[in-house]
Amino acid sequence: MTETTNRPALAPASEEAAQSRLPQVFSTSGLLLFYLVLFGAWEVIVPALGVKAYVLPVPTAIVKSLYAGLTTGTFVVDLGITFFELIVGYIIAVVTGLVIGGLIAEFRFFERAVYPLVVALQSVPKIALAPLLLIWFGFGLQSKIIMAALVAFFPMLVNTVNGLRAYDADMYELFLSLKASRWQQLRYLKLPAAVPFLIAGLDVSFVLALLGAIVGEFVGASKGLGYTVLQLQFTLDTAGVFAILVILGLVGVAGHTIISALGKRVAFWQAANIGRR
Amino acid sequence: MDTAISLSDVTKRFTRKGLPAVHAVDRVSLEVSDHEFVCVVGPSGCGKSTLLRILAGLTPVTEGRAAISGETVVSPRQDVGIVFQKPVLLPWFTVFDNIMLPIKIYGLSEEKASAAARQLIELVTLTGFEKSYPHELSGGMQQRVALARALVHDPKMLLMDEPFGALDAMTRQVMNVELMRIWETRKKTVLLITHDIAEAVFLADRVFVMSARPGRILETLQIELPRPRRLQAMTDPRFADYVQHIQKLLGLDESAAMLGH
Repeated sequence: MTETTNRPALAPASEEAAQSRLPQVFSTSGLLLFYLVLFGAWEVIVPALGVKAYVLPVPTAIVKSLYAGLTTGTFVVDLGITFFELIVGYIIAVVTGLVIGGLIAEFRFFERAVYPLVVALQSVPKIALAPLLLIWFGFGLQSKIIMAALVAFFPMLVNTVNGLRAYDADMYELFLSLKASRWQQLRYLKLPAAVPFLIAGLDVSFVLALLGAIVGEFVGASKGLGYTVLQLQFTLDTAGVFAILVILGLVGVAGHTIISALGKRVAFWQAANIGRR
Repeated sequence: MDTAISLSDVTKRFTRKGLPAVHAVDRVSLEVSDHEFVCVVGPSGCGKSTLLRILAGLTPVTEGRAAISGETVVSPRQDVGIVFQKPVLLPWFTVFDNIMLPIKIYGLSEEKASAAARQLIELVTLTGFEKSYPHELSGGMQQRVALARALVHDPKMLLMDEPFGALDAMTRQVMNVELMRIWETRKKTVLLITHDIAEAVFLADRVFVMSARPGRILETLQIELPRPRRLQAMTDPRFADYVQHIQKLLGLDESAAMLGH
């Protein structure tokens, strides 16, 4: 059977051309050169313009500070603490987001009773709750974990609700015609159809959990990357501040990379369809 | 012969708030015997798909009675297999798992059914594609999977709602011949909905011709073409007579008829 020819004949050719043009411009060595020039220019031009190191340090100073922090272990301990808050908060957000989102999507009662409440709470800027959390849960890790969970919870919830409703209406009809139970509908239809949404939720929530942990540390903490960033700021060690920003950036990128790789594996059919179009 | 499907004075009106009621089907009566292949043909929007949805137990009648094997249809039945307009395959399941879906949902023995599924894969000529995913298949192949899925739990009858309507003309003809071949090996009772007059005449023992909305049965035609039918059946002079007769019934003039086939 060959009825795949209803695509315009030119389309594949132009697609190929677009694909082959990309690596030519953005080859690995080209990118490397680009960043080398960029950071080189920063290194030379910024001091030449008389910008003070505490305003904008040069890249080598940032790297030095990063290296020192990592080798002496101070950054490593901070990273460990912040990472712990991030991960625990993230897991709490993901699990509660999945469970409450699932209840809202599946049961009319929860949709009517819980969803408006959650949306109302969402419109309160959660960052502003940080001082309150400090009063309730103290200066320890607990208040930071809860902050991270609070900030990361909503995108997970919304993506779960939307994802569980993203199934195809005709497929739903098929399940009705087979008299599938609600559990079977969930297992074979709604949950798989929700996977791309869940991955998006996991992705957004991760970065937000990191944000929540850092904000929690800003408000009141005695350790962690957020606390150390403030300490470095007090001593005008801007290179140190940048070094921590680099670490935070790497944590965010690592999380995103792992989650999207997971997404491509789990929602393989979607990746295949996008590749076709 | 027993009555597999019977509709008596079935009327369907769709009512929505603030809108005039849509009279989709008007007092339709028909009977289908066991192992019979019937087609319902009619213009778009004549309520023929509504008839199928009523028989599938997916929508209730407004008036009248729809029955399968003598029992009034109140909900979907396990002794019925359905092929929809679109293949509606689960993109996260392989061909094999898609075919096995009714077995999983009905909670039947997967061990026993997997042999049946393999036979069906052979019957619909998809051998070697068991582990493929739907997005890797062409439209015609996807509809073959849908057909195998409808047959996997060995239902007594098959309801088909314009199953090849979304395929190109050439593939549709191939699928029609394939369907004949498959039906000859598995003599199910089949009710197939189509707007393609030639398709209806080619496939059916009897053709029910429906009018535009509100859908009524205008006439029932016994198709006396010999079986097994292959493409040559379309060159039979009686074939052209049937097609022309239905075209006249539906008020299609000569030029409009050219568009049909």
